[in-house]
Amino acid sequence: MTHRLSRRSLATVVATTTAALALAACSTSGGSSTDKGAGEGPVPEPTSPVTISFASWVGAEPDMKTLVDKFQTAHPNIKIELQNIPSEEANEKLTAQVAGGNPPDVAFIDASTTAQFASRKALVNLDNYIKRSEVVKADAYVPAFKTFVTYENSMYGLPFDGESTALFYRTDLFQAAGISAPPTTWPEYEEAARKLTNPAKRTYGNAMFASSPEAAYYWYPWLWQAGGKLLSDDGKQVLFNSAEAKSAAEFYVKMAQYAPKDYLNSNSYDGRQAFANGQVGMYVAGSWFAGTLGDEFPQIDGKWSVAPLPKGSAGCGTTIAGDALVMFSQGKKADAAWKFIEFLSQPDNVAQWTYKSKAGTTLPPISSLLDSPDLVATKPILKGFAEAMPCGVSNVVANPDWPKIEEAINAELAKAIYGEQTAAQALDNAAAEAEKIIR
Amino acid sequence: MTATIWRRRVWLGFCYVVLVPGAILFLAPFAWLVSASFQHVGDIFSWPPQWIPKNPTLDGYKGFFGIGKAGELAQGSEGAWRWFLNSAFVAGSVTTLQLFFNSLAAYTFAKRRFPGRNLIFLVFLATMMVPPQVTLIPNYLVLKHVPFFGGNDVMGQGGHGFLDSYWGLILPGAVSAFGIFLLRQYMMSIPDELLDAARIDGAGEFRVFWKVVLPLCAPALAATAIFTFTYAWEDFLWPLIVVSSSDHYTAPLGLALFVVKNRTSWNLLMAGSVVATLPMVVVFLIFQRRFIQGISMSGLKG
Amino acid sequence: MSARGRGARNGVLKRMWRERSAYGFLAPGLILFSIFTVFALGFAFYLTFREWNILEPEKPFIGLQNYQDLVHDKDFGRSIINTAYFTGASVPLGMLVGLCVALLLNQPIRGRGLLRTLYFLPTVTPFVVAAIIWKWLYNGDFGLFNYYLLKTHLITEPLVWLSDKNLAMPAVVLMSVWTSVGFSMVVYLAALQAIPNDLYEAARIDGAGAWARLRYVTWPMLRPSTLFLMVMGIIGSFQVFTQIYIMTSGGPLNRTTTMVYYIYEAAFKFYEMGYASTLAYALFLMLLVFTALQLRLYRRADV
Repeated sequence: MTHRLSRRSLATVVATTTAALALAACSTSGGSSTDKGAGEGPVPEPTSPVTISFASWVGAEPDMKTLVDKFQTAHPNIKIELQNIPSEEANEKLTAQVAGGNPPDVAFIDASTTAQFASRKALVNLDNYIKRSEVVKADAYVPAFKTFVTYENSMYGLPFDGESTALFYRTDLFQAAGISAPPTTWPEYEEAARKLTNPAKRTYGNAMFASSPEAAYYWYPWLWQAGGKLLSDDGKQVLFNSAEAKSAAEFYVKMAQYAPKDYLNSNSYDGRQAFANGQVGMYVAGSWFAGTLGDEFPQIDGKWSVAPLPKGSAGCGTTIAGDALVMFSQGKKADAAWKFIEFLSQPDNVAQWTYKSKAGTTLPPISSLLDSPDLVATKPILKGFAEAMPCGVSNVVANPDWPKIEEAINAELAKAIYGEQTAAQALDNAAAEAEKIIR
Repeated sequence: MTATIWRRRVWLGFCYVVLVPGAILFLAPFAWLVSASFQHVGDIFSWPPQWIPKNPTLDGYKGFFGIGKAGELAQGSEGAWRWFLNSAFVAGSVTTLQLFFNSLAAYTFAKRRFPGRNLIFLVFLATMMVPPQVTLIPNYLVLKHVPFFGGNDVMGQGGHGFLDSYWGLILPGAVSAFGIFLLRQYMMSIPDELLDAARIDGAGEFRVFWKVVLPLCAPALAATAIFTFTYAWEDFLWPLIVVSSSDHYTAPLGLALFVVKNRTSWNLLMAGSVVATLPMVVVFLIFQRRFIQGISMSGLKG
Repeated sequence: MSARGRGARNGVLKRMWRERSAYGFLAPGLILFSIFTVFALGFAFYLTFREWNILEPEKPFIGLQNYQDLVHDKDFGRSIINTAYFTGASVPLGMLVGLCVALLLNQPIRGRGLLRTLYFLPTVTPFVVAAIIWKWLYNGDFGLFNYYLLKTHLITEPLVWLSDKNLAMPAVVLMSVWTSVGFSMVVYLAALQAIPNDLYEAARIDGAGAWARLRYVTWPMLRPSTLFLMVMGIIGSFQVFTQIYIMTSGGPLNRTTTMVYYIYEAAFKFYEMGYASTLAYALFLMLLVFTALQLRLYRRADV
């Protein structure tokens, strides 16, 4: 405690005269993002050496190193300087850099934050470049992934990898509980959860999180399956307290009785131990979970499997997530930066980065790759996730205030999971809050 | 055998009975860390926890330092040696500078009477009261605009200032209100008579500080050294915003690179954490020897 | 200005001139602090009247809107209560345990250096690792705490600690005390060296027992360090962040959302730097008043 404090006392000091200058500098930083890349034909190669900074938390991964080396060989005048940022703190670092007028040229970011950066004019609108490119085609991307990087009908990022959400289940526990197949409908899901739950033996049906952002995030698939929506397409109208949404929330909250209370205030990464220890029999998670289980818990190899999420009254539905490549509008080397992300986005390079990568269990966000038989042949575990993609919905909404609204949904659903209110009340309260925020 | 010797033995026995179980509780997490650093990733999170690795391996360490086959497979290992050298240089410099500047200021606050003393002291303390989450961005701006550094002109424009440099890592940590306060409280217990005696002998203020006060402060200086080194070594948020290129990465920053969302390389992280902790333990062991009861001050008062 | 006023002012200037070397000794700290702190504070104060979505260059002026929002912000109120709870529990506990350990480890016992190191280890154990262990200890079905509590029949049902609305904060406090004992131990150990042996001898001759010596010799001599630990402890725990960030993320149901965690969310989750700065100013003022009061109270008691 006290020693945490002193880190910041070290973080305390340099020139009074610079204060005013800094103020001036940060008010003049930032530039227009729409005119970048205007022109015709292929983007020209730089004639003199240029260095591009590339911020990410994957710069040290062997696949990324290989791709960067390949690029530098093909483009001798462009040098890539890898800036590795710890993934947990990437947002703070990038934010400070943007505010300081000193952002990297290119960054690898969580795709769901693209709209946040784009709506604040921090990113380059890529439409001009995409129009001129022979490699990157806007309609080659899986539409659901494209929604992450689209803001006001323009693309501000190139989707680079992705995943959908599916149902992981313990085959050994299913067998012991006398369940023959993974559930395909809501009632079957509840039935399975009930059979798996036996607090005396410390076994439970599924895991449940009443924390931020998990409480809302793992409710979304049920919402899509019930035919519900979050906001209207223009982002102005609250739709998440409709009758469909309420039925989804009631079911979701009801499942808390089949979940270990221990993990209510945890998250889906830390909760992996409940699945690995055999505490829970079913676990809703993205394809990353397959990689984590393989890496960290080889002792349960062969004791778990993956199935699509059960279907609701409106059919199938799954939440997707992913990462994207973006360029910052304050950067002065936009053309060279584009060359780099264009290269990374070539289909063969995207394949190399996603399903062909040794350790990775992510999906390629390009339709032709996602549908290719090569994918399932290379990484059989991804089959179910790829097949679920037509049901994929992005939870990102075109509204700069969305994080606050999502936080309201989180907080209210969490109260419902803790039994302090009903699921319907939770949604109504969150909707009232959201309307105040949207105004 | 006399009663006093018996009392003494019972008392020492009591010390052990209280201290040893407590120490085990305090040691346990560290022991688990060391144990985990010698395990395969697949064993680290097995249940129940393994206190003695069933299949011990050096892969975590090899991977961390980029040695051999495990090193080739591991991610982001090339710079590990460099991170430690950087951390040692930064933490060592910060500790040296702070011991000097902090004790100088502490002496002034403890033993001098001058107008504005209490106010200036409160201002010093106030530097610790604004949460870094809010000062992060202003500090970034200040660093970027330090004149004459990193290609900046006299107005602090044109370059990157202290960003991504050792200056930016060390200089802001050259003084700390924390260390000043700690030393000031200790120096207050030094009798004024001693100082006055030196002044009467014609010693200047700096000489009084250097020749009389400092030698009496060994235990407090040792405590300051332990804390300063530990904080500088563990510091994370500051290097995170100052440093961009891997040449200047410090150990905690490098270690954080292994904590990747949903894909943490636990074995490398554990091995790296053990290595990163050792210098702090060594520094502690060296300086704690200064805590020997009552030799330094005995006979001064009364 | 009256003649008397001018005289007093001249007196101050004269004294300042006479003690000029004192200001010289403080100069390095004054220079370094003023640059960063003055700028950071000034910038933050400027932002309290602005709306600033960090990523945008514009910072529109919004008057006192942030202050009005602050007054009506129930969640911030909640975070102040949580922070006070954390501080009130963890600071005295950490100091007390640290004092006891320091007193015992100041005895001439075998293995003293080793034991001191063991008690200091939590301070240097990386937080990520400490959090993993403590989450295990707190696990409802498999945790060691519940295992022993159930075995000794202190509880009949397993507790879920970090996921329990009323137990999450005590659980975080316990973990924080564990990490801070090494700190107060070192400060007290250093302070114990400043107590002249003669004082103990004199007390012994007067027939004072061990308890009386502790009460009337040791404890008063430790007062400067106690003040130090208290001021630092309050400043530090008012800013508690890492434990919360790693262990509970402010949950369950905001029961462990502390002020700085709330400020962090405003700044980096919602990008509302203007509002975050206003909150930070509230925190800053609270600490300033607190610290000034403590220093004053202690000065009156002549420490």
